[in-house]
Amino acid sequence: MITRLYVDNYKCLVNFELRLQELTLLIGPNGVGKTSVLDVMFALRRLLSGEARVTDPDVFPTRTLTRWQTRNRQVFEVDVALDRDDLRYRLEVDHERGTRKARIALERLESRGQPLFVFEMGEVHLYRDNHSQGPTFGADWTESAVARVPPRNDNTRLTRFLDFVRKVIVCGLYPAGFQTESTTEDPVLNRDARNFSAWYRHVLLERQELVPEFTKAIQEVIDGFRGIRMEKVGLDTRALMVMFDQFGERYELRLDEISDGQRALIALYSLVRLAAGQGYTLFLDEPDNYLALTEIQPWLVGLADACGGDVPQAVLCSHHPELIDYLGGDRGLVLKRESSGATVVRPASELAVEGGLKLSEVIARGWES
Amino acid sequence: MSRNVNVVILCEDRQHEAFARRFLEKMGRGLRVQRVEISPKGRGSGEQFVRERFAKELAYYRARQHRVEQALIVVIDADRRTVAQRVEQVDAAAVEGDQERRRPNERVAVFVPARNIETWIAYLDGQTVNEDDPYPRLKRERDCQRHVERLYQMCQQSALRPPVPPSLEAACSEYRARLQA
Repeated sequence: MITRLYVDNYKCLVNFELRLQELTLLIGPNGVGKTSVLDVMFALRRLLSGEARVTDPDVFPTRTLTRWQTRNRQVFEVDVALDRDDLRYRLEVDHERGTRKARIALERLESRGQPLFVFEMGEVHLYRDNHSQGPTFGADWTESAVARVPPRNDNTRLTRFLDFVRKVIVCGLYPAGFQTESTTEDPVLNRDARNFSAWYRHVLLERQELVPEFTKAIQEVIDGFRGIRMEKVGLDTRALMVMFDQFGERYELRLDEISDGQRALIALYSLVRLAAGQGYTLFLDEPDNYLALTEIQPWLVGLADACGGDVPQAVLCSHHPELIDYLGGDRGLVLKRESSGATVVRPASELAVEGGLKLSEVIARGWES
Repeated sequence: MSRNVNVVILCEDRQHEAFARRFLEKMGRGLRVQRVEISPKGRGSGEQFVRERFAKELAYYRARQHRVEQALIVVIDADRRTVAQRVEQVDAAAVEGDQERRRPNERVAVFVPARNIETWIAYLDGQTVNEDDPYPRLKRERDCQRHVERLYQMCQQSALRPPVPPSLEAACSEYRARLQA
């Protein structure tokens, strides 16, 4: 799991440090940087998947430099605990504001100060699992060099780190954009989950045995739901069909024919029940959007039960009272903008909650300080 | 299937919640009918939140008690007090909140683990326990599943393994009197 995230000089995050649990809820006013935290994780996952350059729009383009800072270097650190292996990944990106060019000044993976990989000023230094030095060579400093390292039997720790990061799902569901048809299986959900059908195909192939339990869970939350079927509509194209048994009739609707809320429910329960045990780390932006009030706590309780087990870790951002009151007390972190502009973090348990008030009510009244 | 909550769990902390939720599920009241109200752990203790919240939840319960199977479950640690003192505090909190004290026929149960829920968990782990010493917390709250299973089996056989912590015995009586009657 990710134990710590450090960000400096990215949007509103300056010298910003976040310590995460197996389940963490990020709370705070609009514009304080909650979604920026998710943007960083999304960018790192894209970069470390080897599918993007550092200046790509959804990675670290120059416009993501903190506007009130004059420094041109961005720093990102992710601490990850994989069983008993504590790893730290550090990325430094140098920007030229005039030309909007950027390059990776440093990329380093280490364990307790000992290197497993270093990419500095265009030169890669490979290390083995026991930290002994391997070959050195040049690389393109507009993209991640560590992402290009092939797995070997003497770099298993580095490989494991990459596998872990590539299974980070950063998502704010936009059900209206879900595509019904897919031609491939996608191992990772897009930022807005528009490729849900393709991702569903992937998890379905991986964990067929979970389908009955997943179907049962959805049957409890969607009236008349019978199951999901992938209908062949082209050579490689399949459409996600939702089957109903309701009002004395059996019928099917395409994914884009059911409601936004129903699509959100199917996606959220897929993340917890169907993707279980596949190592996905979840960063979800306002997962409560589109859900009926009655359905938020049951899903949340299921997620909380799964975290640290079937779901290694989840980080949620939300303003919703249901999430704040259920998770805030012991899993909430409050982000706040200081007068300097920097965002700081403190546990929600430090907020002054008195007189039987709920945490959400304290926040709604602005009484948290 | 629409959700229709018929049991509210009012509790101090995450371990209370995990234990109560699982036990109710074993007794046929699953997640879909449960509603959890948990202390925000802010300034002031969790038991204070439970007491302060109790009168409101009791009022909500009374407004709907004509509905079948409505129930309110309170879980609050005894800590340094006796079970009777803690139950009295909860009942007194109802009066302070302009509610009458619990009536015998109301499905409003107050469970008071003494010294705390970890005592019950240690007992269900097979240990001989007393209600004064502290016992270790579980690494994860959900790890109490196996303890709940054991308690459920004992309840089914109407036979708690002696020596039984008196607070657990009292809780079983409370369950039978208020929720099974």
